[in-house]
Amino acid sequence: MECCNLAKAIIPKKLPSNAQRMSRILVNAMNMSAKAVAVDFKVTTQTWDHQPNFAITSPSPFVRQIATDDPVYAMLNKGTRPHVIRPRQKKILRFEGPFRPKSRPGYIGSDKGSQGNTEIWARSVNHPGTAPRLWTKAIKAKWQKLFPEQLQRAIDVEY
Amino acid sequence: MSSLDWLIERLTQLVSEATGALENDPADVAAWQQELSRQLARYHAASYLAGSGEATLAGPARAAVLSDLREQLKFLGKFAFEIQGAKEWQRGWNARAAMYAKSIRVPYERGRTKMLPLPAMPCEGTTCLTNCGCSWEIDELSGDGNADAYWRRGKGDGCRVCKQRERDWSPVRIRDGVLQLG
Repeated sequence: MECCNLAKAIIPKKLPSNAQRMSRILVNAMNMSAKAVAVDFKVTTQTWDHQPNFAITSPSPFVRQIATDDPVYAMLNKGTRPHVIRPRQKKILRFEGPFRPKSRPGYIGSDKGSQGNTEIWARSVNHPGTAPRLWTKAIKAKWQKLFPEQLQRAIDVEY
Repeated sequence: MSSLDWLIERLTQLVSEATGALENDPADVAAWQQELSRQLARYHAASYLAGSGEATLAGPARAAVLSDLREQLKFLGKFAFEIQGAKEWQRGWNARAAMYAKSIRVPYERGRTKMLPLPAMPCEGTTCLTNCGCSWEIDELSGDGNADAYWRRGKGDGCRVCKQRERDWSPVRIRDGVLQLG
Protein backbone atom coordinates (compact mmCIF):
# COMPACT_ATOMS: atom_id res chain seq x y z
CA MET A 1 0.00 0.00 0.00
CA GLU A 2 1.50 3.31 -0.96
CA CYS A 3 1.55 5.61 1.97
CA CYS A 4 3.11 8.98 2.61
CA ASN A 5 2.06 10.01 6.06
CA LEU A 6 2.29 13.55 7.31
CA ALA A 7 1.72 13.97 10.99
CA LYS A 8 2.08 16.76 13.52
CA ALA A 9 3.43 15.04 16.58
CA ILE A 10 3.42 16.51 20.05
CA ILE A 11 6.99 16.08 21.26
CA PRO A 12 7.98 16.52 24.92
CA LYS A 13 10.16 19.57 25.58
CA LYS A 14 13.01 17.53 26.97
CA LEU A 15 13.84 15.43 23.95
CA PRO A 16 16.98 13.42 24.55
CA SER A 17 19.06 12.70 21.49
CA ASN A 18 18.63 8.98 21.82
CA ALA A 19 18.70 7.36 18.42
CA GLN A 20 17.52 4.03 19.77
CA ARG A 21 14.44 5.62 21.31
CA MET A 22 13.62 7.55 18.14
CA SER A 23 14.06 4.41 16.08
CA ARG A 24 11.72 2.50 18.40
CA ILE A 25 9.09 5.23 18.07
CA LEU A 26 9.15 5.02 14.29
CA VAL A 27 9.19 1.21 14.22
CA ASN A 28 6.26 1.04 16.63
CA ALA A 29 4.24 3.62 14.70
CA MET A 30 4.87 1.73 11.43
CA ASN A 31 4.01 -1.63 13.01
CA MET A 32 0.82 -0.26 14.58
CA SER A 33 -0.29 1.12 11.25
CA ALA A 34 0.61 -2.07 9.36
CA LYS A 35 -1.33 -4.32 11.74
CA ALA A 36 -4.40 -2.08 11.66
CA VAL A 37 -4.30 -1.90 7.86
CA ALA A 38 -3.94 -5.70 7.58
CA VAL A 39 -7.07 -6.16 9.71
CA ASP A 40 -9.05 -3.88 7.41
CA PHE A 41 -7.93 -5.80 4.32
CA LYS A 42 -9.17 -8.99 5.94
CA VAL A 43 -12.47 -7.28 6.78
CA THR A 44 -13.02 -6.76 3.04
CA THR A 45 -12.97 -10.56 2.53
CA GLN A 46 -14.66 -11.68 5.74
CA THR A 47 -17.60 -13.42 4.04
CA TRP A 48 -15.65 -14.84 1.10
CA ASP A 49 -15.56 -18.59 0.50
CA HIS A 50 -11.80 -18.45 -0.02
CA GLN A 51 -9.64 -16.29 2.22
CA PRO A 52 -6.80 -14.36 0.56
CA ASN A 53 -3.71 -14.11 2.68
CA PHE A 54 -2.48 -10.60 3.57
CA ALA A 55 1.13 -10.64 4.62
CA ILE A 56 3.00 -7.83 6.35
CA THR A 57 6.63 -7.51 5.32
CA SER A 58 9.43 -5.00 5.92
CA PRO A 59 11.24 -4.28 2.64
CA SER A 60 13.37 -1.76 4.57
CA PRO A 61 13.57 -0.66 8.25
CA PHE A 62 11.00 2.14 7.95
CA VAL A 63 8.75 0.70 5.26
CA ARG A 64 5.92 -1.78 5.78
CA GLN A 65 4.16 -3.60 2.98
CA ILE A 66 0.80 -5.27 3.28
CA ALA A 67 0.15 -7.38 0.22
CA THR A 68 -1.68 -10.34 -1.22
CA ASP A 69 -0.97 -12.39 -4.32
CA ASP A 70 -4.60 -13.43 -4.68
CA PRO A 71 -5.61 -12.80 -8.31
CA VAL A 72 -9.34 -12.51 -7.54
CA TYR A 73 -8.67 -9.79 -4.97
CA ALA A 74 -6.45 -7.90 -7.39
CA MET A 75 -9.06 -8.15 -10.12
CA LEU A 76 -11.86 -6.85 -7.93
CA ASN A 77 -9.73 -4.11 -6.39
CA LYS A 78 -8.83 -2.68 -9.81
CA GLY A 79 -12.03 -3.68 -11.59
CA THR A 80 -12.45 -5.24 -15.01
CA ARG A 81 -13.53 -3.91 -18.40
CA PRO A 82 -16.65 -5.12 -20.19
CA HIS A 83 -15.88 -8.44 -21.89
CA VAL A 84 -17.51 -11.34 -23.67
CA ILE A 85 -17.63 -14.74 -21.98
CA ARG A 86 -17.79 -17.78 -24.25
CA PRO A 87 -17.70 -21.48 -23.33
CA ARG A 88 -14.27 -23.08 -23.66
CA GLN A 89 -14.93 -26.77 -23.81
CA LYS A 90 -18.68 -27.12 -24.00
CA LYS A 91 -20.99 -25.50 -26.52
CA ILE A 92 -23.10 -23.59 -24.06
CA LEU A 93 -22.68 -21.63 -20.80
CA ARG A 94 -24.65 -22.53 -17.69
CA PHE A 95 -24.79 -20.31 -14.61
CA GLU A 96 -27.14 -19.13 -11.92
CA GLY A 97 -28.60 -15.72 -11.21
CA PRO A 98 -29.51 -13.10 -10.23
CA PHE A 99 -26.08 -12.47 -8.76
CA ARG A 100 -25.62 -10.10 -5.84
CA PRO A 101 -21.98 -9.27 -5.03
CA LYS A 102 -20.53 -9.47 -1.53
CA SER A 103 -18.59 -6.25 -1.95
CA ARG A 104 -19.09 -2.78 -3.34
CA PRO A 105 -16.80 0.10 -4.36
CA GLY A 106 -15.09 1.96 -1.53
CA TYR A 107 -16.69 -0.14 1.21
CA ILE A 108 -14.37 -1.65 3.82
CA GLY A 109 -16.38 -4.76 4.51
CA SER A 110 -18.13 -7.65 2.82
CA ASP A 111 -21.74 -8.75 2.91
CA LYS A 112 -23.53 -12.07 2.40
CA GLY A 113 -24.05 -11.77 -1.34
CA SER A 114 -26.00 -14.26 -3.41
CA GLN A 115 -25.26 -16.63 -6.26
CA GLY A 116 -28.92 -16.71 -7.22
CA ASN A 117 -31.01 -19.82 -7.79
CA THR A 118 -32.35 -19.35 -11.31
CA GLU A 119 -30.60 -21.48 -13.90
CA ILE A 120 -29.48 -19.54 -16.98
CA TRP A 121 -28.21 -21.00 -20.25
CA ALA A 122 -26.51 -18.93 -22.97
CA ARG A 123 -24.13 -19.37 -25.91
CA SER A 124 -22.20 -16.28 -24.80
CA VAL A 125 -22.57 -13.47 -22.32
CA ASN A 126 -21.67 -9.79 -22.54
CA HIS A 127 -20.26 -9.21 -19.06
CA PRO A 128 -20.58 -5.47 -18.21
CA GLY A 129 -17.29 -5.48 -16.29
CA THR A 130 -16.76 -5.13 -12.55
CA ALA A 131 -16.69 -1.74 -10.86
CA PRO A 132 -13.32 -1.31 -9.08
CA ARG A 133 -13.67 -1.82 -5.32
CA LEU A 134 -10.64 0.42 -4.66
CA TRP A 135 -10.06 -1.11 -1.25
CA THR A 136 -6.42 -0.01 -1.25
CA LYS A 137 -7.50 3.60 -1.75
CA ALA A 138 -10.21 3.49 0.94
CA ILE A 139 -8.03 1.77 3.53
CA LYS A 140 -5.09 4.06 2.80
CA ALA A 141 -7.29 7.17 3.25
CA LYS A 142 -8.70 5.85 6.52
CA TRP A 143 -5.35 5.01 8.13
CA GLN A 144 -3.54 8.09 6.86
CA LYS A 145 -6.09 10.07 8.83
CA LEU A 146 -5.53 7.94 11.94
CA PHE A 147 -1.73 7.65 11.67
CA PRO A 148 -1.05 10.79 13.77
CA GLU A 149 -2.88 9.10 16.69
CA GLN A 150 -0.70 6.01 16.35
CA LEU A 151 2.51 8.05 16.08
CA GLN A 152 1.52 10.04 19.16
CA ARG A 153 0.87 6.80 21.04
CA ALA A 154 4.31 5.52 20.05
CA ILE A 155 5.84 8.74 21.38
CA ASP A 156 3.80 8.59 24.60
CA VAL A 157 5.11 5.07 25.29
CA GLU A 158 8.69 6.35 25.27
CA TYR A 159 8.17 9.39 27.50
CA MET B 1 -19.44 -1.42 38.35
CA SER B 2 -16.09 -0.24 36.93
CA SER B 3 -14.98 3.35 37.24
CA LEU B 4 -15.49 3.83 33.49
CA ASP B 5 -19.06 2.52 33.65
CA TRP B 6 -19.77 4.85 36.56
CA LEU B 7 -18.34 7.84 34.67
CA ILE B 8 -20.33 6.98 31.54
CA GLU B 9 -23.52 6.57 33.53
CA ARG B 10 -23.00 9.90 35.29
CA LEU B 11 -22.16 11.75 32.07
CA THR B 12 -25.12 10.16 30.27
CA GLN B 13 -27.38 11.51 33.01
CA LEU B 14 -25.94 15.02 32.73
CA VAL B 15 -26.20 14.98 28.93
CA SER B 16 -29.79 13.67 29.08
CA GLU B 17 -30.80 16.40 31.55
CA ALA B 18 -29.30 19.14 29.38
CA THR B 19 -30.81 17.71 26.19
CA GLY B 20 -34.18 17.26 27.87
CA ALA B 21 -34.13 20.93 28.87
CA LEU B 22 -33.26 21.90 25.29
CA GLU B 23 -36.13 19.80 23.95
CA ASN B 24 -38.56 21.74 26.17
CA ASP B 25 -37.06 25.08 25.17
CA PRO B 26 -35.24 24.72 21.83
CA ALA B 27 -34.28 28.40 21.68
CA ASP B 28 -30.97 28.21 23.52
CA VAL B 29 -28.85 25.74 21.54
CA ALA B 30 -25.67 27.70 22.31
CA ALA B 31 -26.12 27.22 26.06
CA TRP B 32 -26.76 23.52 25.57
CA GLN B 33 -23.63 23.19 23.41
CA GLN B 34 -21.58 25.07 26.00
CA GLU B 35 -22.86 22.85 28.82
CA LEU B 36 -22.12 19.65 26.91
CA SER B 37 -18.66 20.93 25.95
CA ARG B 38 -17.91 21.68 29.60
CA GLN B 39 -19.05 18.26 30.78
CA LEU B 40 -17.22 16.44 27.99
CA ALA B 41 -13.99 18.24 28.93
CA ARG B 42 -14.37 17.32 32.60
CA TYR B 43 -15.19 13.72 31.94
CA HIS B 44 -12.54 13.20 29.28
CA ALA B 45 -9.92 14.24 31.82
CA ALA B 46 -11.54 12.19 34.58
CA SER B 47 -11.71 9.03 32.49
CA TYR B 48 -8.03 9.29 31.50
CA LEU B 49 -7.05 9.67 35.15
CA ALA B 50 -9.31 6.75 36.11
CA GLY B 51 -7.75 4.53 33.45
CA SER B 52 -4.14 5.49 34.14
CA GLY B 53 -4.39 5.74 37.93
CA GLU B 54 -2.53 9.03 37.83
CA ALA B 55 -3.37 12.07 39.93
CA THR B 56 -2.75 14.81 37.37
CA LEU B 57 -3.09 15.25 33.64
CA ALA B 58 -0.03 16.86 32.09
CA GLY B 59 2.38 16.76 29.18
CA PRO B 60 1.75 14.39 26.26
CA ALA B 61 -1.17 12.77 28.11
CA ARG B 62 -2.95 16.12 28.39
CA ALA B 63 -2.32 16.84 24.72
CA ALA B 64 -3.68 13.43 23.73
CA VAL B 65 -6.86 13.87 25.80
CA LEU B 66 -7.35 17.35 24.33
CA SER B 67 -7.04 15.82 20.87
CA ASP B 68 -9.75 13.25 21.73
CA LEU B 69 -11.94 16.04 23.13
CA ARG B 70 -11.45 18.26 20.08
CA GLU B 71 -12.72 15.45 17.87
CA GLN B 72 -15.92 15.15 19.91
CA LEU B 73 -16.43 18.92 20.03
CA LYS B 74 -16.20 19.00 16.24
CA PHE B 75 -19.09 16.52 16.00
CA LEU B 76 -20.99 18.40 18.69
CA GLY B 77 -20.66 21.64 16.73
CA LYS B 78 -22.21 20.02 13.66
CA PHE B 79 -24.99 18.53 15.78
CA ALA B 80 -25.77 21.93 17.35
CA PHE B 81 -25.90 23.50 13.89
CA GLU B 82 -28.35 20.82 12.79
CA ILE B 83 -30.62 21.41 15.79
CA GLN B 84 -30.53 25.16 15.26
CA GLY B 85 -31.58 24.81 11.65
CA ALA B 86 -34.42 22.37 12.24
CA LYS B 87 -38.08 23.39 12.41
CA GLU B 88 -38.96 20.90 15.11
CA TRP B 89 -37.30 18.47 17.51
CA GLN B 90 -36.34 15.22 15.84
CA ARG B 91 -36.91 11.83 17.36
CA GLY B 92 -33.50 10.27 17.94
CA TRP B 93 -31.70 13.45 18.95
CA ASN B 94 -31.88 12.51 22.64
CA ALA B 95 -30.26 9.14 21.91
CA ARG B 96 -27.70 10.78 19.64
CA ALA B 97 -26.74 13.25 22.39
CA ALA B 98 -26.41 10.39 24.89
CA MET B 99 -23.82 8.73 22.60
CA TYR B 100 -21.35 11.49 23.44
CA ALA B 101 -21.06 10.07 26.92
CA LYS B 102 -19.57 6.85 25.56
CA SER B 103 -16.78 8.81 23.84
CA ILE B 104 -14.91 8.96 27.16
CA ARG B 105 -14.05 5.30 26.63
CA VAL B 106 -11.22 6.45 24.33
CA PRO B 107 -9.22 8.47 26.91
CA TYR B 108 -9.92 5.79 29.52
CA GLU B 109 -8.39 3.06 27.38
CA ARG B 110 -5.56 5.39 26.44
CA GLY B 111 -4.79 5.89 30.13
CA ARG B 112 -5.10 2.20 30.93
CA THR B 113 -2.73 1.08 28.16
CA LYS B 114 -0.41 4.08 27.94
CA MET B 115 2.81 2.14 28.38
CA LEU B 116 2.13 -0.13 25.41
CA PRO B 117 2.41 0.43 21.65
CA LEU B 118 -0.96 -1.09 20.74
CA PRO B 119 -2.09 -0.94 17.09
CA ALA B 120 -5.48 0.68 17.77
CA MET B 121 -7.73 1.71 20.61
CA PRO B 122 -11.40 0.79 21.03
CA CYS B 123 -13.51 3.16 18.90
CA GLU B 124 -10.47 3.94 16.73
CA GLY B 125 -11.14 2.89 13.15
CA THR B 126 -14.13 0.72 14.06
CA THR B 127 -17.58 0.82 12.48
CA CYS B 128 -19.24 0.79 15.91
CA LEU B 129 -17.52 4.12 16.80
CA THR B 130 -18.46 5.30 20.31
CA ASN B 131 -20.65 2.23 20.77
CA CYS B 132 -17.52 0.10 20.79
CA GLY B 133 -17.55 -2.00 23.96
CA CYS B 134 -14.23 -3.70 23.24
CA SER B 135 -11.15 -3.45 25.43
CA TRP B 136 -7.57 -4.65 25.66
CA GLU B 137 -6.65 -7.39 28.10
CA ILE B 138 -3.00 -7.03 29.01
CA ASP B 139 -0.88 -9.95 30.12
CA GLU B 140 2.40 -8.51 31.43
CA LEU B 141 5.36 -10.83 31.05
CA SER B 142 8.70 -10.95 32.78
CA GLY B 143 11.31 -8.53 31.50
CA ASP B 144 11.03 -4.84 30.73
CA GLY B 145 8.58 -3.92 27.97
CA ASN B 146 7.25 -7.45 27.44
CA ALA B 147 3.54 -8.13 27.24
CA ASP B 148 0.87 -9.99 25.32
CA ALA B 149 -2.28 -7.99 24.65
CA TYR B 150 -5.63 -9.48 23.66
CA TRP B 151 -8.44 -7.59 21.90
CA ARG B 152 -11.59 -8.56 23.79
CA ARG B 153 -14.83 -7.90 21.97
CA GLY B 154 -17.56 -6.21 23.95
CA LYS B 155 -20.71 -8.17 24.76
CA GLY B 156 -23.05 -8.03 21.80
CA ASP B 157 -20.54 -6.16 19.65
CA GLY B 158 -21.18 -7.32 16.08
CA CYS B 159 -18.89 -4.79 14.41
CA ARG B 160 -17.00 -6.47 11.54
CA VAL B 161 -13.76 -4.65 12.35
CA CYS B 162 -13.87 -5.65 16.02
CA LYS B 163 -14.60 -9.28 15.06
CA GLN B 164 -11.51 -9.34 12.83
CA ARG B 165 -9.38 -7.65 15.47
CA GLU B 166 -10.46 -10.27 17.99
CA ARG B 167 -9.30 -12.99 15.57
CA ASP B 168 -6.01 -11.35 14.60
CA TRP B 169 -5.00 -9.67 17.83
CA SER B 170 -5.21 -12.58 20.24
CA PRO B 171 -2.60 -11.74 21.13
CA VAL B 172 -0.41 -8.96 19.78
CA ARG B 173 3.09 -9.39 21.14
CA ILE B 174 5.24 -6.64 22.57
CA ARG B 175 8.86 -7.46 23.23
CA ASP B 176 11.42 -4.99 24.59
CA GLY B 177 8.84 -2.25 24.06
CA VAL B 178 8.41 -3.02 20.35
CA LEU B 179 5.16 -4.19 18.79
CA GLN B 180 5.93 -7.39 16.89
CA LEU B 181 4.59 -7.93 13.38
CA GLY B 182 4.30 -11.70 13.70
